This record gives sequence, structure tokens and C-alpha cells, in this order.
Amino acid sequence: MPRRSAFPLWLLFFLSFARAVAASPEISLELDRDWAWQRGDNPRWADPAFNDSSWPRISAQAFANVRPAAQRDGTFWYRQRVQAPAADGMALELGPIDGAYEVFANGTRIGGLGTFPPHAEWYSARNLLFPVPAGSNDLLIAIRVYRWKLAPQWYSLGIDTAQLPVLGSESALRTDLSLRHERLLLRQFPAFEIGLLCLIVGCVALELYRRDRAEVQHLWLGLAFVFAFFDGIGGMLSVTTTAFPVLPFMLVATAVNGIEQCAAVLFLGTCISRRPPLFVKILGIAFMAAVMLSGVAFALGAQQLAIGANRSIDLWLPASVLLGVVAAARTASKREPNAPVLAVGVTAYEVSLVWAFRLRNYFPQLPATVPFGPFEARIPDLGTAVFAVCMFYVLVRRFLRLREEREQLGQEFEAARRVQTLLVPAHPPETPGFTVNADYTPAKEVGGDFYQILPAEDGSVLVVVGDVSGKGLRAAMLVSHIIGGLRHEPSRRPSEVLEHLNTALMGQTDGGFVTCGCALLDKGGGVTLANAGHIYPYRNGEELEVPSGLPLGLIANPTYPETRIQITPGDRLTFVSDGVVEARNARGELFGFERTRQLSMQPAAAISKAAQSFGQDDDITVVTIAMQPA
Amino acid sequence: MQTDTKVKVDKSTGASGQPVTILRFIGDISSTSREAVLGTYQSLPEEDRARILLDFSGVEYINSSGIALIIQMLLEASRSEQIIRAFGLTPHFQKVFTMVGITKYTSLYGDEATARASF
Repeated sequence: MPRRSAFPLWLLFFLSFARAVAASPEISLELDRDWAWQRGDNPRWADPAFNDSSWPRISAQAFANVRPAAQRDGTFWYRQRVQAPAADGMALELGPIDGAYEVFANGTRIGGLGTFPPHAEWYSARNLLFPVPAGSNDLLIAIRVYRWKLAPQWYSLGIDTAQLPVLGSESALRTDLSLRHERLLLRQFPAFEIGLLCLIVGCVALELYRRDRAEVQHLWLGLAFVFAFFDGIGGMLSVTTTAFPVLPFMLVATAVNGIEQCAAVLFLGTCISRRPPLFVKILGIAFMAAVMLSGVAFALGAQQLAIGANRSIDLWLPASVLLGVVAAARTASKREPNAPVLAVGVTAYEVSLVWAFRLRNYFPQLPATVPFGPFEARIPDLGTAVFAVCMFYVLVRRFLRLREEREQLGQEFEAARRVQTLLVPAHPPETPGFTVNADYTPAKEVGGDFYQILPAEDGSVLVVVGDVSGKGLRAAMLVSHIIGGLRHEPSRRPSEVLEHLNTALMGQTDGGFVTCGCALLDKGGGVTLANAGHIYPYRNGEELEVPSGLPLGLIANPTYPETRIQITPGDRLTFVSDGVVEARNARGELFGFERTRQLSMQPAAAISKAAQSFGQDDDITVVTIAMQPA
Repeated sequence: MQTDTKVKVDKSTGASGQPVTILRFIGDISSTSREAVLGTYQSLPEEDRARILLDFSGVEYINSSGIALIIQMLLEASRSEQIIRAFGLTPHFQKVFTMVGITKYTSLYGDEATARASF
């Protein structure tokens, strides 16, 4: 998706570049004389007849770069007289002005940008063009400006900040302005592409985290890259559009940048240990707070707080860089195939971080950009690009490895399922004199329920139904162990079968247990039952409350009392696992004992199906055994 | 579908005037509740473990892994000659507790007042 949407922008960039280098517009007249200026607000100051000779003066160059504190926090007027040709189709081009402003020509308002107090809003960036009505040669240009109390140290004023106002042919100026704007867009091209790369890498990392929540490194890396993308887009918008008022834009931009820095620090922490250590969390939050606070303080007009917060970044930055060095060294020392690439990426990120934040402040002779074909790229952006490419490589490798592991795990589960299919029969064996019906539906690929129908030559049938606490592969392994024990069980007395199973399971259940119901049916209809904490069986639709011992695997040498009952031809016993009675619907309601009892004369598959339809939450096993007529 | 288990520890006194520690469970109890069930019990000071009352009135669902955790706690308490009683179980889980033999190690009560009066 990002690639497809980026294509028209590519085209625009190249077309703009072609036009920009082909054209060379004619410029008419620069307003290079001093401006008279005054603090205050008076509509008469737009009047060409007003005498401003007592006003202080500011040079044209200083006006273009105006920053002095004396000209902040209030409304100011600037006036300059120009001898201009009294022709039609003239216009005035103004560079970016740090505040809301209105422009007047000979007392007539010809345009402006932003709104004045009490609801002041102003915008950064963009030179703007204002048509000047035809009139006399003597033209009085008056500009009314409202400036915020703090200078915009933390956002760019955009292009041509030192450009003097220009008066000239509107068509020529418009062509020239359009070309310069396109050149500006062109200069953003590498940053835009790097931003897209960050977005792609961020999304890949977040997708990997979605697949495996234990890998928090992917979360922090993904957040850092996605917010780096938004940070970059914000930077581009701040110099290419006038769509966003400065203060709200700054608040959002510093919040985005703060989150990006915090996520990046936490990512570096995960290079040191699997989960970021506490000091790394503190560093990340402090870094984020410093960046965000500088924006909030600026928006509130709290100059000292803004400066303090900005300077505190100087404090956190070295700590972050040190963390990066440790992270790179730690990563490089790891014996994993991606370690060298990851270390290179982390190092590139550190260079980009230091360069972007502070290095050029202390070493201004260092270059800010490097040529990049017809474009130019900011050095921090290049560092980010190297980091992004390295991480993309690492993430793709991890993604492939994860897929391979999942496939392998899937194969292992399939193998376990096949083994369980052999152990828990799909069709019960022949049981002369009795009709056995069973259904077994695990909640996952493999289950922790089990049943065995063990007929003997004397015409008796031993029925064992059980449930290992827990689900999945671990429970299934225990089921294999239990069935192995049952197949070699010498006794057919239910209490002894349970006692032997308990002995075999002691120390094997890892804190869990196994419930198990056991019944021996002789060919005459005598039934001996023993129960180790399993759901009571049903006889002819009624619950049989048999005395129960503790589930298997909990204590040594338990006793399992036996209960003897007599059934006659046509009678039926039904055994279920707790997956039936504890099936839950979306409202959290349980299937329950009463519903199970009412269904207990149904075929096993019907009981199982009813519980599944209600809301299967656990493995489901149903076994019915009916005595055939003689 | 399952919700996390929360546990709140309260202190009260039984009918005999002896202190009783009440563990109030809220949410489902399952394999992920090890810390809430066993962790809370094991982190109690020795003097607070002599008489413990388990409050299940905020619990809607307990699966077999959750029951295993409760049994482990009861067996540990039994070995240390501590007394554990419980109240607030739904009729369904009262029956399940009876089936798995938990009632050999604890007594189940319908409400808190009756349960506290039993100490």
C-alpha cells in the first residue's frame, strides 16, 4: 500500500525537478529599504497619509529574519514606501512571517495569514503572494503582525526565511514562487522516502509483535519507526503547507517526537536484556518527558520552563548515547546470525540521534546535508535510513524463522494428534453384550481427555473415562502416559486401577491432577464403580452420586471406595468429562449439570454436539454403554 | 472468554475472636491464576495463615486447572495444620468441589457471616 500511494508523489517530484531547473523567472523589485516599525495597534497606521517619521527603523534584512525580543509578545506595524510602476497585475511576495499578519497597500487590505487576538492563530512556512491594486507610483506597504511571546526556536520557518519582500508582476512572481515551492518539495524527497521506509519497517515489527507478544523488542522498535514516520511527515508539513496553526502543531509534533525517542530508548534496552531494565525505562520516560515538556512549555508561553526542558535533553542525550553504545556492543557480542547487522543499525541510529539533536549546535562547521543525486539528504535522515534497512533485514530474517518454527510446531502437533488418535480410538472395540457409543472432541489440536473401553474374555467390559487438568500438548503427553499404564494394567477392579494410576502419576502432573471415572460391567449386568474426582456418571438419565476420592496425582496412597449397582438389559450408563457441563456461552452461562442430565439418554455425538454448540471451552468426551437384551 | 483473577486480602475475626484472613477472589480462576491463588496464599505472613476464609462470591468460572491450584493450596494448608474454609460458590461449583473431594479439606458455606461464625 505505501508503495502504490507513493508513486504519484515520485512523479510530482521528478516533474517539479524538471520544471525547476528549466525555468528562470524575472524578478521585479526587492523591498530592500529600512522599515519603520511600532508596537501597538491602530488602523490609521495603514493609512499612507500617516506620518511615521518618529517611528524607529529596522533594516530590510532584519525584518526578513525578525527575532528580537523587543518585537515579540504583541501587535506590531511595519511601514515602507516604495516607488513602483503603476501597472496592472502587480503583486507583493512576502517570506514566512513568525506570527499572524495582514498586509495593506495604500491603506487597502490586500491579504493576510492567521488570526489576531483574542483567538490568535498563526502558521509557519510558505512565502505568500498578495495582488496589489493598480494606483499611484507612490506605494505605501503596511504590515500588521501579531507575534507570540516566545521565538520559534523549535520549529522551522520554512524556506527563504532571509528573502526580502518583492514587488513585481504577479504572473512572474507566481511562476517563480511555484517553482521554488516545487524545489522545496524536491528537497523533501529523500526524507519522504526514508519516512516511508520507517513506516514499512515499523509495521513489519508491530506485526511480528502481534504474532508473538513475548518479543517486546519488536513492539518498541515498531513504535519507534512508526512515530519516526509521523515525525518526518510533520517536519515536511511544517515547511510545505500553511494548513496547521503553529501551537497545536508543535504540541502534536513534540508528543510524537517524545514517544519516538522513548520507544527508541526502550528498544535499545531490549538489546541489553529481553525486557528493558528499570533504568532504561526511567531514561526513556525522562527523555520523552523532556521533549514533550519543551513543546507544552512553549505553547503555554513559559519561556524559562521551555528553555529548561530543552536543555534537559542535553542531560538525557549522553545517557541515551551511552545506552546505544552498550546496546550495540552487547548485540555484536551475541552469537546470533543477525547480531552484526543489528549492531550496525544501532550504531547508525546513535549517529543520527546525536547529529540531529546537538552535534551541529556545538560544531556548526559540520555539514547538515549531503548531495544525493539531484537531491540533498539530511545526515540524520541517512543514519535513520541505514538503521531502518538493517532492521528491515533483521526483521525479515526473524519473520522467516518464526514462520519456519510455526510450521515445525504445527507438524509436531499433527504428529501428536495422530498418536492420540491411535491411543484414543475413534471407534470402540467389540463388546459382546454391550453397545458402546463414544465421542471425543479436543478443544485444541490435541486434548487432555481420554477414555478406554477394555473388554475381557469373560465378557466383562472395563470403562475408564478421565480428564487431565489443562489442555494442549502437555496434557496430551500425560494422556499418553495414562493410556500406556491402562494398557498394561493387571487388575480390572476399578479401585485398584485408580490406585495404580495414581501411583504412576505421582510427581508427573506438575501441580495439576487427573480426574478419572472407572466402571467394570460384568456380563450379568453387575457394575462396580470407582471415582477419582470425576463428573458423576448417569444411569438411565439420572445422576449416580458415587462416593469419590481425590483426583489422581495429588497425594500418595489414597483410597477409592467402590460402589456396586445392577443394570438390566436396555439400561444405559453415560460418562462425560467436564468439557460438557462447563461448556460456556458468550454470556458466560454454563451448560451445567441439569442440561447434561436431560441429554444423557441421547447418543454420545448428540450430547457432545449440544455442548459444542453451547460454547466449547475445554476438551469434550462422552461415552455411553448400554446393556443389550439377552 | 476468561477474565483475569484479582484477589483482595482482608482481615476479620471469627466467632471465637481469633483473627481470620479473608482472600476475596474476583474473576475466573484458571491456569493463569497461579500467582493470585498460590502466590497470595504463600505470601501471607505465617501468623495470618492459621485461619483463612476463601471468598468465591466474585468468581463466575473455575476450570480444572483453577481447581488444581485451589487443591494445592488446601493440601499445603492441611500439611501445616491451617484451617481453610470457603463461601460464595455457585451451586454448580459447590457440586464440582464436592465431586473432586475438596470438601475433605475444607468446608463450604453459603455466605460470609456463616463462614466467619464457623471459626
